[in-house]
Amino acid sequence: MLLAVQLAGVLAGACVLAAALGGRLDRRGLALGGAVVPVGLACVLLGATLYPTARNLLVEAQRNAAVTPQEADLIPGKSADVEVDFVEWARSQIPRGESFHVVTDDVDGYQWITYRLLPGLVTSADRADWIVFYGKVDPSDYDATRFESPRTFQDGFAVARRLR
Amino acid sequence: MPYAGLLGLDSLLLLAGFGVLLACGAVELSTRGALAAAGLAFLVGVASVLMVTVALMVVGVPALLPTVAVVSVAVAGAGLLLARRGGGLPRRDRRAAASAGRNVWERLRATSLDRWIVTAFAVAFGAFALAMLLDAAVTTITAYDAWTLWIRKALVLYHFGTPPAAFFASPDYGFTSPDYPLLLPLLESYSFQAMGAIDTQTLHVQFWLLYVAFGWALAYVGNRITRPAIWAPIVLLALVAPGIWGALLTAYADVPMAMFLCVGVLLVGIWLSRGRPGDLALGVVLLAGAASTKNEGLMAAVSVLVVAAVLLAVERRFGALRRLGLGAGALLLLILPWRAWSAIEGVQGQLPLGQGLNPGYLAGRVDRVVPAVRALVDALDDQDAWLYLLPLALGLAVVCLIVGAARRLAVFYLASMAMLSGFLVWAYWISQAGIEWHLGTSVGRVSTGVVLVALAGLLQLAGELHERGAAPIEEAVEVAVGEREQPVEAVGAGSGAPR
Repeated sequence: MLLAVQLAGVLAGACVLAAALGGRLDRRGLALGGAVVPVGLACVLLGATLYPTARNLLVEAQRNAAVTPQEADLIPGKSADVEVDFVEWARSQIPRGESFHVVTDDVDGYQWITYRLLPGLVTSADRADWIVFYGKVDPSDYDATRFESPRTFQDGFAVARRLR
Repeated sequence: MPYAGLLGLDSLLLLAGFGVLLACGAVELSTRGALAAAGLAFLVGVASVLMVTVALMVVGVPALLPTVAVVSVAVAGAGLLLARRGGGLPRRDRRAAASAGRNVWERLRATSLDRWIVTAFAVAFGAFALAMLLDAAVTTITAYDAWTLWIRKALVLYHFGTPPAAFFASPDYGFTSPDYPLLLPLLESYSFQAMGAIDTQTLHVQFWLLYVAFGWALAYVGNRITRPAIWAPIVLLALVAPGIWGALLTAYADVPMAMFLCVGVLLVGIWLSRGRPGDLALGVVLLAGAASTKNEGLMAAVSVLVVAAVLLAVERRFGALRRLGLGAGALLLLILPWRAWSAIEGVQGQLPLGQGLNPGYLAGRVDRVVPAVRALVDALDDQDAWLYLLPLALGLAVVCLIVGAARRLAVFYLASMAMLSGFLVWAYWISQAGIEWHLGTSVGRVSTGVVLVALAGLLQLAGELHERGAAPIEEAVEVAVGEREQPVEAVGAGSGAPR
């Protein structure tokens, strides 16, 4: 409905500008009025938005300038309320590129772990080099006899390496 | 160091883009001509080189920096050879192609208003782009899909070189929309390699470059179809629309896709109007770029080409229809490698396309249509994001239909927008995700394509209306001052293409 009102506004603007520019509301005048409507509206909107938007960008830039690259890497996980400290600890435990299986009920945690542990790829528990426990350590979720005892970061957060 | 690497990578892409532009007769061989066409060249270079490297990647050639260097030089060289074989730029095409280069300065000397407008445009765009660059260089990734879909895939390509089936075909990674095409992750992967580090903050500078190239390309192409007094405010309005610059800095693929789409559909519109084959060829490359960035880009490319084909068939312009068919075939070839690899490896998308035309399936989910239409209209009506680009385009299309100027172009843009919107509603209709969640997390983004098709239409239709409305006034002035020359709009008139 609002779109229809806006459309009517554009057409009315074309008519007004046709009358103002050409003095006549014929086809040629309406064509010219139509061409000038976006120009006029753009000038008004640009006048209202260009400077404040640019200023906001600079304020935002100033705020982000203090963020270190290491902090920047973890911001998405923190935004998703993931235990990023545990995931960074897990990265230090699991050799780069080794496969892993994630035991968790937390979708965001799962996605963040599978993101941060790249190039290691997630796979099933019976094929994984490592088990990552995020939020729960439940022996029923994997064959504990084939893995070392879990190395615990904190309660419910641990990693276990396959016996070699 | 990261910026030097990015500069090297982007110079290669720019070089390749110039090759394609030369082959299409869309740039003049001069410093001014090249400078004016640099934005379009960059967009075309990104699209063409990355589509070729995707094709190489799926047959096992790793996506490393030497690969992109060789492909860029090869594309540039092939373009140069094609341009020479074609005898360079034809005289009348040279006029059109150079209109943003040499001719723009000639025009500016003759028209002080246009000079002031171009200067104001350059200053305003430059200042805004500079502020955006300062922000982009330190922006952090926060948006969910940016890391869980796009940068994740970029890292996979960065680490593995080629797309591993263990990732893309694994149900464990089904949440990453693994069927989505790889142009953007590949650009990000190359950017990380060029920077020498996985620097997700500096990565935004690459998105900023796309933004600048987009504005530059619109100015270049816009200057071919109308005078700066018309195109400059419209282009600047689009560039400061938060739905474009703000969404671009989220590092999602929607805006890059829509940028390729916008310039591509505009070039197809110009081809429909003037019949110069180079415009169609460039339009097809950019539409293929859109289709290689997001699945919605494929829907948009299909919409544009089908609508153009129907228009030509109705007008019984079979020669043009055959050329359009060749263009559609080229687009298919460009996007085929990833689609074929996905099908062979069993990569599963989130949309049940096999059920997409099943009447029983559709009937069982018909209650999803009305909410999808409502949400899409609401998203398109978000003028905080789009600054009235859509109602302006719709309004000008209606004016065209009323006054009888560029009616076929008005129909072309209206029908393209309608068909793309129809595709989007269809996607929500057949999706198995909960409708509220699906709409809430995506409709504001996927509407970008529709709005940027509207932007292309707004530019071209405003130019056509201005030509229709102002022609007698300008002719009188030109005759009075003895400076009448062949207008750019007359280029291609020999094609007999109706407007």
